[in-house]
Amino acid sequence: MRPARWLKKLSFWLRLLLHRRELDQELDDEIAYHLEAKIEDNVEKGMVPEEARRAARIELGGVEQVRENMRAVRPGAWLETFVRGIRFGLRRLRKSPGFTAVTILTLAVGVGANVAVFSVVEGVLLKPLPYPKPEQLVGVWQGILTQSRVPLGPSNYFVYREQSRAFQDVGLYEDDSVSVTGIGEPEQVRALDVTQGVLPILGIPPMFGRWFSQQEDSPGSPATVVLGYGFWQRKFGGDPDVIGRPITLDGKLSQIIGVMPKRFHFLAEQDAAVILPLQLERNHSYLGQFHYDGIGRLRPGITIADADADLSRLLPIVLRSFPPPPGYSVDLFEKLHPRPDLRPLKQDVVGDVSNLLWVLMGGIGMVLLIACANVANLLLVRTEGRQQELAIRSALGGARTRIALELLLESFVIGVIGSALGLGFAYGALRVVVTMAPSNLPRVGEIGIDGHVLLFTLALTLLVTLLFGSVPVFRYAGSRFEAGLREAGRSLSQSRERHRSRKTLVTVQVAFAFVLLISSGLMIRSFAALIRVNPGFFAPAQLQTFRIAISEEDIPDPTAAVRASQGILEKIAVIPGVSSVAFASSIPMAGGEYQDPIWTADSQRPAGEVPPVRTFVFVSPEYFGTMGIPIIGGRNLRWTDTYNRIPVALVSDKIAREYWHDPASAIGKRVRASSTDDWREIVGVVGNVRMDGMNQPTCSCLYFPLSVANFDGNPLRVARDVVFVVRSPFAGSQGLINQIRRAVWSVDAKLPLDNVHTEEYFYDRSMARTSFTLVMLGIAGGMALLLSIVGLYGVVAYSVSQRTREIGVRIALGAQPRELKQMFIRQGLLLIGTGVAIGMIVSFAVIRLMSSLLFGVSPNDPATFIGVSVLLFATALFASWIPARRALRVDPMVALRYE
Amino acid sequence: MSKPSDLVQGTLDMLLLKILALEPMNGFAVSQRLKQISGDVLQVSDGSLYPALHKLEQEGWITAEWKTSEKGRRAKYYSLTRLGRRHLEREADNWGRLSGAISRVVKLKEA
Repeated sequence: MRPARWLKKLSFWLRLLLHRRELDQELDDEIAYHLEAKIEDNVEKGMVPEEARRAARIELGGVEQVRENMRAVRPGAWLETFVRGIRFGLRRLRKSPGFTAVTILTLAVGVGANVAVFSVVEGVLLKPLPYPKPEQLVGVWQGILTQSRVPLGPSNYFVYREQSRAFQDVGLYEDDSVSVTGIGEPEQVRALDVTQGVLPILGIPPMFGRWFSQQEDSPGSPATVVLGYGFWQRKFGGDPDVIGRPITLDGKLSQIIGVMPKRFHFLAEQDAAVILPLQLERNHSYLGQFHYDGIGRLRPGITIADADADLSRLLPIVLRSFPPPPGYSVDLFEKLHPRPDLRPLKQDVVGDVSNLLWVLMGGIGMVLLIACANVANLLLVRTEGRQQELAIRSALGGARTRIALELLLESFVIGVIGSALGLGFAYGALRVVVTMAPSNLPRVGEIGIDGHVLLFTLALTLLVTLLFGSVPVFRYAGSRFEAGLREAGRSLSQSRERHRSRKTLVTVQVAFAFVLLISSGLMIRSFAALIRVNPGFFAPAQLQTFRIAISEEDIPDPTAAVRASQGILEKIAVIPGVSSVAFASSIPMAGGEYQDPIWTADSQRPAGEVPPVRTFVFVSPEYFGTMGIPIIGGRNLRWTDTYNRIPVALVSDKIAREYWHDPASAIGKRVRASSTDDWREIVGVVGNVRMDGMNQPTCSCLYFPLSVANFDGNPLRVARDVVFVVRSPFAGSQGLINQIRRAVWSVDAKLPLDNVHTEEYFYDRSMARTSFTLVMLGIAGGMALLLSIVGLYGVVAYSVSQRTREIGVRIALGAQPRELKQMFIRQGLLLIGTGVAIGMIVSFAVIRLMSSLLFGVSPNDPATFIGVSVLLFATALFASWIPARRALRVDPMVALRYE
Repeated sequence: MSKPSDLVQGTLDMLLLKILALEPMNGFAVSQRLKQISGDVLQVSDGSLYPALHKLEQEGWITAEWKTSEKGRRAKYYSLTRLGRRHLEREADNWGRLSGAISRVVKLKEA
């Protein structure tokens, strides 16, 4: 029973597909036969042939309708209707190329932009990290006093690793940089130092070779290294035979034991060229030394809360298991009240960029809605033009649902084509985004069009189609077709209602455009405020910088190392075009600062508490002059301070005021970095510098000579790893860089230069996030404005053309053309006014969501609000004026006859 | 029966099947026969006849064949299948029960 039916249905389907025309012919034949038989019957009953024919026809009813009904009963009738609807839709679209082009393009831009932004959101925020079981990965930090996200020390590492019950394994890692010599050109490359467990925790096996063994992570064992994919390709040409080969890093021979695969990226950092074991020494570890980042993998089933409790249990054990550094007491460390600070690793990687991305998503979503409103408006106009046709069809018995379906299907075709094109746009846009994205946008490598993005595009297409497709359907497939037939005749003017939907759409568009323009305006002001901030030093564009590192293998004697650097400095100073040169352990906004607590004598801070952490910079005396940092009081450092190891220091204005009220009082006071150090005398005070970025507070910096004795527990500490700053109008030019290279190599031919950038590069990079947001929101705001203006123009122009007869009558009755023009302009301004008002209300509510991106301007900044309102009104005036002028040209005679 | 409701549609199907049970015939002949047998009481509108016949064909209760009529023209001739016969018997039973019950209720003497 059942199978037979299904078989029949299947055979029908096949016949339908293959022999459609024959099937249709059969329908016609059947009806034709029926008609003829009916006519004969009538004739036999005695009717005249003409009458017989007529009677038969009437009894049959509409032939087309019968045909439709018969077709409707066929299996797969719905598919037939669907395909036919699409074909009709395509044909109609081809007949009006202008309309089709505009709608499809508008949609493509709207959908494309959204898909692009969503791809970024998906790649950066939503996608899980590219490691096995990423939900088990945790960033392991600690909280100290009021600070959170403080790095760990070796003491934490050893105890956590051995005694934790919550973690499968725990590891520490640190950024590093090493020189690579002996293979091709000497280079300075990024390195990643890890404890043995870090690579297994991430769980991506090497392409060749193996990870580090515990033996290799212990100090004193032969040096081993794992290569990163990019470095291996570049330096070894992708040779699979590298395992076991030696490579010279920082003057030491290391054995290559593995190569990581291409898909391995360490968190969000730029890919390191080489991975080295950290080789922490248990016997030489103290409490503190908090400068390693921590990572861990939880045991299955363990939550972060469990791990938190577990580590809290271990922290007192840490305090008991390791000695405090010389000059400190265990008591001091207890007073720090350390507590665990664990975060899901993805949160660590993504950082605070989520706010920015969601703001962008919201903005671009608004642009899409505006685009949809435009398309809906265009569809309304088009459907209005077909009103007579639709009315007649309905009067002849066309089902309302069928008409509605047809309208919807046409919108569907537009939607699908537009979205497909949009997807193409998005693909292109993403390639641009990936290249020009700010360098601190994490996970850029994972941005792309993947399955989720495609699903999103599909959903968006459907949503968008329904949105604008339902508008004409609701307006015209409804009732009142008699009105449609009547109004196409000699009625005087348009009913008010006719315009309401279009006016509403334009008002909504304007409101959205207002919000977007406000956000752009606020970003512009933030950016302007950021630029105005005084960095504390002078003309970053003229400062060429580069890093060198004089390794202990290279020049073992510390003093000789400093002399070598000084020698380089002197060689660079004589290069034509160089006005001054200096070097230091770190420079503003380039990262890598040394931070530690500082003790002060005779200060106003209460004694006995753990002193707060400050930034230390080790500088050559020329530093302040080269950078343009003013010396406010006292004297500069001298080279004799360095070579004779005189215990002196300079402090920034901020520190002088914080501890001793004013710069003058700071001179002569004493500071030291730990309680076993020599006291160092403050001999000068310098101006404040923004080390961390224009939107961060100024640095609490202390400046020390390059070589210091008895510092922070070290009998002698010299700066081997230094950054040079060269002031020259030719900064950034390859010519100057080459001359600098020659100068460096004339002192030491094996020294590679690293991080060769102008200071402006670091300055720009610190502003990168704001400028990126600005550009994106600016584009969105611009698109929104353009689309809204086009929409407004369309409404006013259409209104003028529809009311031509009314204009003619008015003119004939004595109205001045100018008055009429003003009437239309007023209409436009009213629409904009309403839109702006709504936009203002929405802005007040919504703009505070982006306050974390703003700088130096409040979310309710009146100047921006006024400016945007003026801009919108001005453009509205323009968009209404042009079509309104057409009202001037109306000839009353023509208008009255116009139909 | 200009616009058959659900109940009437089912009944219409049964009537058509019964007529075809008598002998195979084309659509026009079916509507004529129905009119004739029922004494002009039951008439199928031409617009509903053919869709109904096609539905029955799809359900597998009748099968169709193109034949040349006596007048020499091509027409589609329908005949009942074994499946259709069984369905007809079932429906006829149901109808008998239903109409009997309705008659009994309607024939009740009012007080």
